[in-house]
Amino acid sequence: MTAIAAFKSALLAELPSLRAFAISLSGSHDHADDLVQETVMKAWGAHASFIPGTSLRAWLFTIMRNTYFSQYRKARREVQDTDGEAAARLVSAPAQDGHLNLADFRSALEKLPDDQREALILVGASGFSCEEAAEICGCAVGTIKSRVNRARQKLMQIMSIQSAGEL
Amino acid sequence: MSDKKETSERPTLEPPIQAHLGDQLKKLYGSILSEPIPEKLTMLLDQLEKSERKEREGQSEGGDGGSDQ
Repeated sequence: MTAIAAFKSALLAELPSLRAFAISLSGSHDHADDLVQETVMKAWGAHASFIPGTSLRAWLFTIMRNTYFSQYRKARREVQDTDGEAAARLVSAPAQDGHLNLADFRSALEKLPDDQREALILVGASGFSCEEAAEICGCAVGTIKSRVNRARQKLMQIMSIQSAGEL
Repeated sequence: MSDKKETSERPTLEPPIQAHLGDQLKKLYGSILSEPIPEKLTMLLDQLEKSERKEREGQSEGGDGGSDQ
């Protein structure tokens, strides 16, 4: 396999993760696919700066979150009232286990500040360590830890309000 | 004096609830991970690959077409 083909197939393998991170960040499938597209193009152009042997996923996530925070966050704010629709589309089959379903969780997640949601997703869902997440976000490990903690507390508050009627 | 009532706003989460949150998060993320990749994204990679090959062939001797597939 040529170097180009190898890089291409490595990127291809990361597309699901990139999409998942993009959707979690932006809260909309449409924005997310644009975000993935732009991340892929930037990554392709910056291929030479990737250090073989390091985590391709972490490298791609770094590119993506920088792109998101420099461009997409503003757009997201402007269309925030469509977030509910996006959430509805995301969870097509509502899970009925437990007292809170995935759609409830999803909308609670949407209400978190961007930096807290990002930290929670990186550490709690994408499988990165706090150290890796700190590198991706360009901040201290302690900052990631406190963002994750605040995110969890805030989620709890939001969800306990949402589920108050069921208790 | 510091005899505050324990309300639902106290900052520590009970472990089972935290585990439930973690579960939900992984489930949500997993449901996105298993979605099919939109064609426009895979096509973008095809395009990038194609144009880079062309570029490289333009730069090198040019007759190196045997490495397809």
